[in-house]
Amino acid sequence: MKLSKLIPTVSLILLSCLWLSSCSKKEISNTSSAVKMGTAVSVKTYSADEKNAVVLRDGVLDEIGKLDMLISKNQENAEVYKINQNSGNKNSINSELYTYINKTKEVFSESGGRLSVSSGALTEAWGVDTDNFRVPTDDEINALIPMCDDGKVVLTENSIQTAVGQKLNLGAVGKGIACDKAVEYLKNHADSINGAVISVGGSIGCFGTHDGKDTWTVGIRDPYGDENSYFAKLTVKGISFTSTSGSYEKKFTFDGKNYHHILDLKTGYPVENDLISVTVTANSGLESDALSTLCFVLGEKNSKDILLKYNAYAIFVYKDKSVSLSDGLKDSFEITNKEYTLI
Amino acid sequence: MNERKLITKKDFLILLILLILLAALVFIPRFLSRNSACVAVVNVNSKEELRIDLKNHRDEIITLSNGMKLSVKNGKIAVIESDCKDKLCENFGYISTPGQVIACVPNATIVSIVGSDKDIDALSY
Repeated sequence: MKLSKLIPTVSLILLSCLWLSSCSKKEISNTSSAVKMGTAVSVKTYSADEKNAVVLRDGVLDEIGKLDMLISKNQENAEVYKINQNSGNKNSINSELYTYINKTKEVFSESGGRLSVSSGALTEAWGVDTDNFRVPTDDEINALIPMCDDGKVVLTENSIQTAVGQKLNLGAVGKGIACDKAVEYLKNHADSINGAVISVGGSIGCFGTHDGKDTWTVGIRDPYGDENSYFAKLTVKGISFTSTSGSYEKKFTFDGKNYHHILDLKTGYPVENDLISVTVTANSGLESDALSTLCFVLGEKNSKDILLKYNAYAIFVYKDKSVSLSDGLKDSFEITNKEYTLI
Repeated sequence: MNERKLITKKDFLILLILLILLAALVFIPRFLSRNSACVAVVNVNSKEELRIDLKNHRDEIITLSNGMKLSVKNGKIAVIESDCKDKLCENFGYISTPGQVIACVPNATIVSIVGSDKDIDALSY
């Protein structure tokens, strides 16, 4: 009789064992890294099913590869490359490319001509896109600045015509667009995935949930630290896009003078101000990428209204390691390197 | 009819043992997965070429199919030689924490430390 007395207890415990172990099985994450679009791409997917995590992870990488064949100016046979080869003539474009060019043009028009979607001729002269940096002569720069004017670009929903020698350049937004593409793809497969985090050369796209939470922690690169270091953490929620522009990236020294890759079309030279980096979180990857560059060029004061307009938030990091935030970002931002101070 | 206690001493003991077993069932796998966090994955041309358990690996120099040389030392990994022009990959130094990466874009090679036990989900740069 003693044994029968135990049966309810034992079975209850065994049941709870089963229930708990099914819980601890939970989700599987899968990461893959590759060089795509001339930069390091990593995709981490979270799913209850390992096969789905792998298939969707590889699906995202494929999407990014396809995007490169549309928007790259360096990749032979890419649409933008072909348009640039055929400058001065009318080229037909699909609605996807139209959206990217039009939206980038729109955001950069806020800069008063200091940034443009047609900056390729100047960035190529500096060797920015190919990492073959050089300092062009003043004559060269003065001749190239007018070639970077978006006013010379005739854009319709299915065609584009640039001036002779003009070159489209989606380099400042390409990584963000790749994050948009990735999240769009995952949204269409939302049934088989819990969440994912995508990094395309440091532009970050977050989607869904992981480990039972809908927040993601994005480290903000320490401009003075090594490649993997961060000075602060930003907590973002659900679908979100974060990009950083900084003068510590793609820099070089020539004749004892330091240069970086963010060019101001007003001068034709790299931007010079007290900022060292700007991180923007926005509703789309294109916007976060375009706005981080825009904020870096315009500075904090002149960026305020534009950020509000796009419902975006920025972290301004100054050369003296002081940090300033957009209103509303304070509660989700935490400095982890004490050398930096919030102002 | 003698009254029965709801839980006898023996019941309680069995309950306790089962609870301990249960806790072990739940926590041991977690503990193990945490310990296996130090794995470096090397991707070349979008394909996984190597997977190295840094903890259980003696110090050595590894040459990849593209000629790049990696050094594994004290549970850390670094790129020590590459024929690329910019040599950015050699500047990354040794990495060992999950989430850290070394990228060599010209050689389409990425070394990353994988694992769940990390502080941030992504790094914006």
